[in-house]
Amino acid sequence: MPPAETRHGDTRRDPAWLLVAAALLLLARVALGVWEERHVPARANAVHWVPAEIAPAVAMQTGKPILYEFSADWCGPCQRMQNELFSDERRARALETLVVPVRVVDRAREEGRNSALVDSLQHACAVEAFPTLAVVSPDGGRRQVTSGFVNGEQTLQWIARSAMTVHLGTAPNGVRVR
Amino acid sequence: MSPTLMLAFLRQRLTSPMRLVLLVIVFLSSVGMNTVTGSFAGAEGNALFYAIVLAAGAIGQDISSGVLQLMFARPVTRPCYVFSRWFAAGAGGGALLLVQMVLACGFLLARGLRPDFAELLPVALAGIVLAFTASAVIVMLSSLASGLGDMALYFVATLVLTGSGQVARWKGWSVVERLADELGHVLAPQLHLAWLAGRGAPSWFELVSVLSTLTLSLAVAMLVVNRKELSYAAG
Repeated sequence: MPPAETRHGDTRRDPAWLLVAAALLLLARVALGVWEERHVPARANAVHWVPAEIAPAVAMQTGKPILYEFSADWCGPCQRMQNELFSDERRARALETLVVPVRVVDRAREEGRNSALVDSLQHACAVEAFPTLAVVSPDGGRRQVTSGFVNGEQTLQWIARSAMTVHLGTAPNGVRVR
Repeated sequence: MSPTLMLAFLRQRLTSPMRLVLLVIVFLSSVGMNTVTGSFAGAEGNALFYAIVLAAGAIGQDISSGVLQLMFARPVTRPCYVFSRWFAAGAGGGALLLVQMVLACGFLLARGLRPDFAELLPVALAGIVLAFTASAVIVMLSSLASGLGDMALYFVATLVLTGSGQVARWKGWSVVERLADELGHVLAPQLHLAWLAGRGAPSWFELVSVLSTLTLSLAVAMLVVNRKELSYAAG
C-alpha cells in the first residue's frame, strides 16, 4: 500500500516560473491581439494569381469564369481576406478549381493614378469599395459582384455559387443573370 | 523531467493497438499525399493529430487505473510527472512529423522530383511547436477528466465553440465570435511560419498565442494534479 501523502516528502510543487510565464504571455497575447486587429500582417499567398492580361484567354481555354479580386494595400479587410482565404492552402486549392484568379491592386492612393487596365477593370465591375470580388464568365457576358469581407468560408461559398451562376446564366433562385 | 517516465509513457502509447492504427493510417496517407502532390503545405497539422493521439488519456488513464497513487510513492514530483507526460507526447508527435517529411522527401527524390526545401523548414518548425502545444492542451484536459474523458471534453468543447461561433457570426455578435474563435484556436492551435522563408509578414500574435496556450495549459495541468487527493479513501 502506498504511503499516505504528508507535508513531509510531499510530491507537490507549484510551478511559480511557469505561472509567471503563462501570465506574461497571456497579457502579450491580448495586447498583440488588439494591435494586429488594427494592423493585420500579410500572410504568405497560397493562390497562383493569373495576370489580368492573359486571364480571358486562360478562362476561354479552361472554361472557368474569372475571379477579379479588387484590393488595395492600405485596406484592412483586404488583408483579412488575404489571410483567411488566399493564404489558406485548402481554400486556395478549392478556389483555383472553380475560377481563374486575378488580383487587381488599386494604387491610386499611393501613386496618384492606376494603370489603364486597372481603371478599365474597376469601371467594368463598378468597383466602389475594397475589397470587391467579381466573378465574370469566360466570354465576359455575365458577372456577379460583391463588396466587403465577412469570413473566408463564406466568401469561398459565394465564389462557388457565383461561378455556378455565371456558368449556367441563372441564379439559384431562377433569375437570369447578365 | 524524467527520461524514464517519458520512455515508459511512449512505449505504453505505441503498444496501444487503437492508437497505433490511427497513427499508421494518418502517417501513411500523409506520406502518400506529400509524395503525390510534391507539397508539404498543411503538414504541420499532422503533428497536431499525432500529439493528440499520443497524449489522449495521459493523466486521466493513470487516475482511473489507480497508477497515479503508485507513481507518487516514488520520489517523483507531480510537476515532473506532468512535464514528462507533456514532453513525451509532444516530442513523439514532432518526431512522427519529421519522419513523415523525410520519407516523403525520399520518395520525391526517388521519382526525380526536387522537394521545395524552402517550404520544409517552416512547416517542420511549426509542426513541432504545434505538437508540443496540442500535447499540453490534451494533458490539461486529461488532468480534469479520468480515463479518456479528455477526448470527450475536447470534442464537446470543439462542437460548442464551432456552433456558438456560427450563431455569433449569423447574429453579428462580433465579441462572441472573436471569443469563440480564440478559444477554438486553443483546441486547434494554428501557426504559420512561412515568413521564415521570406514569404509574408510574421504574425507575432499567432506565435504568442500558441506559446500562451502551451504555458497556460501546462500550468493548469500542474495546478490541478497538485490539488488532486490521491489517497485510496479519496475515491
